[in-house]
Amino acid sequence: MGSSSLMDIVGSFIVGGALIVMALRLNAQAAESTAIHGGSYILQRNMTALIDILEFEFRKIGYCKDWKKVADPTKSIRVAELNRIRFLTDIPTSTNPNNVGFYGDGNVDSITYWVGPASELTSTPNPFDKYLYRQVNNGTTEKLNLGLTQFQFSYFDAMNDPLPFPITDARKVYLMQVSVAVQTAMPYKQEYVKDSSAYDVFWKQIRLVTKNLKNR
Amino acid sequence: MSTGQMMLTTGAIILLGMTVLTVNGMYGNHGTILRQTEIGIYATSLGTSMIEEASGMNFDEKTVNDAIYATSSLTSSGSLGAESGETTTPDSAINFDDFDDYNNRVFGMKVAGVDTFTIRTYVYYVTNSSPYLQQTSTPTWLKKLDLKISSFAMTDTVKMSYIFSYFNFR
Repeated sequence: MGSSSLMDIVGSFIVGGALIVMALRLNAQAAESTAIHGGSYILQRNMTALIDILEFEFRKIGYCKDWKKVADPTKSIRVAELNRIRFLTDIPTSTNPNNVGFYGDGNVDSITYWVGPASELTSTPNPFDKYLYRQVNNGTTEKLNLGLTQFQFSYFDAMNDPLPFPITDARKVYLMQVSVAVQTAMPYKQEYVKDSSAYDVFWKQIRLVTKNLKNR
Repeated sequence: MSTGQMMLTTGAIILLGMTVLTVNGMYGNHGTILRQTEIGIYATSLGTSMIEEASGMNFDEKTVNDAIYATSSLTSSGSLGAESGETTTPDSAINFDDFDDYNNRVFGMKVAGVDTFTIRTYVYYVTNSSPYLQQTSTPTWLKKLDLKISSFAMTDTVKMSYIFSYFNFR
């Protein structure tokens, strides 16, 4: 075997190795991008789903199909805390707008939302996410795992002044602001499991007004 | 290695390089689209908050203290907007007391870590008979709020609308 053949073989090893490294790097980058983008997409979907639920129900605080059953709409908010709220409304019995049940059944219901501690949700690697709980009347508590890490309320009176906690008289609440943050359940790089910046965070804050609270 | 083999090898490397560049560009585009979507959701939430705030106002300056029963008593179309003493610099809704105060206003809202969003608002009367919801200069019981939310980080403008009708609690 001549020296030129040896040079050819060595050169082919080098080129082949470079090609393999490039292909492996491409594969790794594709996997990383897919994981990160997929996680971000799921995050945005979770956020919009959560906000849809909150907006739909909070907009109907103090509403009842039989308006006589809500004699004083200002008493519709029963509990107004930083991470917890309970209010009166009329839950629809149908999702079909053409069905009369879409506007409720004429009975006053109470809905309670609150968040659990971060230590409770152990099924995800993210140590910061929490369960969001929803309870209708005194029924079964529903758990929502949407990667929620922040769920806070701010309450304002009719003059748009913030109400300090604890709020002893919920009748003063005229406007509320909800701040929600969601994170991905799993970071791409596992070694940063305690570092919150490793998780994709999506934050949203909206102000909600209920017309029925104006009836005072 | 013969010339032919060398050319084949070179061609293969070029092909692989082009593939890598294409795939990288594609993933870059995906990331850009996702970020734009995220910013769009921020813009939507700001618009929603402003709509919620406006819907908590009185229908018209004339309805702040009294109920009215005829559209002729409403503010004329050309006078829709914030009254004297209600405007601030920069624009803020802090002194607004009725829905059409949002007419011809430009609000700047900064979202920490994202960008500063500009919200332009317009309010006008719309018809409540056929053709429905068309802009009209005649006062009606319906007002429409148009919002246009934009920022330097956005490639497009988010447009939202809200119809507000006059109501009175029994």
